[in-house]
Amino acid sequence: MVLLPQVAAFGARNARLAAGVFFCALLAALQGCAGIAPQTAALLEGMPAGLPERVELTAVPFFPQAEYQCGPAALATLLVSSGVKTTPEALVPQVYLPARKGSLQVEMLAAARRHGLVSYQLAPSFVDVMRELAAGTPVVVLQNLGISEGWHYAVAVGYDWKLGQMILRSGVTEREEMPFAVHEAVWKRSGYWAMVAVPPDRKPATADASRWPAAVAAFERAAIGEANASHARGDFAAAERTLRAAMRAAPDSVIVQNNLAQTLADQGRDAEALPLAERAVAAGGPHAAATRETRDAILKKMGRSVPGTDLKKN
Amino acid sequence: MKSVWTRTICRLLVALMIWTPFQIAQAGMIGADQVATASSAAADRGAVLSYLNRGEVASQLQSLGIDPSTAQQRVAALSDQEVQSLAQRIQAMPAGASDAGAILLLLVVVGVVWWFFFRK
Repeated sequence: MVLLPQVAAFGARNARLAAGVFFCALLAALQGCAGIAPQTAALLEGMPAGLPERVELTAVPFFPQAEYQCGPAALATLLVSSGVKTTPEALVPQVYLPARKGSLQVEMLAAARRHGLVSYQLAPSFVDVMRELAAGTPVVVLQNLGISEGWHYAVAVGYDWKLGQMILRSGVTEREEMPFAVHEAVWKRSGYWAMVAVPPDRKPATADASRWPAAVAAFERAAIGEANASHARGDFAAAERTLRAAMRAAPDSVIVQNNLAQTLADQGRDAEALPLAERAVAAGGPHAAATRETRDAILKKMGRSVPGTDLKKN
Repeated sequence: MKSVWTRTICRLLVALMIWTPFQIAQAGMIGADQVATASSAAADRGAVLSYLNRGEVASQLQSLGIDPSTAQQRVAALSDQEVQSLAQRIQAMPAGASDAGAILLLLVVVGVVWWFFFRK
């Protein structure tokens, strides 16, 4: 890269940061840096408190994308990082839309749920992405690399504040270094869209008290639907696995407790099922009648008396 | 000209044909549509709207090249808000695809830097 003499005199340690500043100043001359990359401008002043100057999640796997399929590749990166066994090819039927030649953002969020992870869209904040990285969580970002159509998912795996750059897995590049200003400029066009996916008993570092419950509820709903489908097919083991993951994220969910109790009972594991069914009944609420039916059916199966139907106590 | 009624009936039929068969829960299991339900008119309206929206999105996915059962599975994993944002806007939303456009952007950037530097 060509540098002005003043910039070169800055010193080797700051050369890349200087280049980033120069680039930003160049953009400023053209359009106003505050307009192009406002959050980067704030970052240049100093590192936010409590964040390390450099983070790189080297253990995050790399899946080079096939044509048009950055969605499956980026999603696979996130899922495998959290211990899910999958590949981009396996995810194609879950997120790829042939007629649009790409993957929609909400389907990226939804597909993560189908693999037992709670997906969460981050706030539109550069610093929040850095916080997630510092906590060890890779982040999928949606960029626009073209003039009007050039949407592309990449996975942020690190940053270096001194060098002023983000580190991403992107396309067929395992380690792409992008100056902060360029990263922000292409990321801003999606409204700073970014997502993480975490195991059900964990919470993202930047989970927002006003939006995290909805993310958990969405996971719960997806898990219940999927478990019901497995159950209807007779695949009780799969239904149980899905519902146990849902229990970890939403331990107080009456529907999950009820449905898991039913699934266990359908596998002949009545003794395990009963406490869960009782718990669901005890919670009361809008599902009281349904949960009582489930509990009573299990009791009958076990040859025990059902409350309210027998004078003799068991 | 379709009246509001006709349009609503169409949406309901689409939902019934495409979405309902996927929603019949077995005895003893509570359905996914019951999540976060409180007894209120607003919640009931929300549930009906979600039902209609889901049928619509499933139908739209099919028109975009997805087979019916895959479309149902994909819609089932969406939240109510996500379904609402998709219904009727599916053609306009960004679909992340590739970094082919990066070459164009790079050329533009290099051109601008070169022009600005050498012009001085």
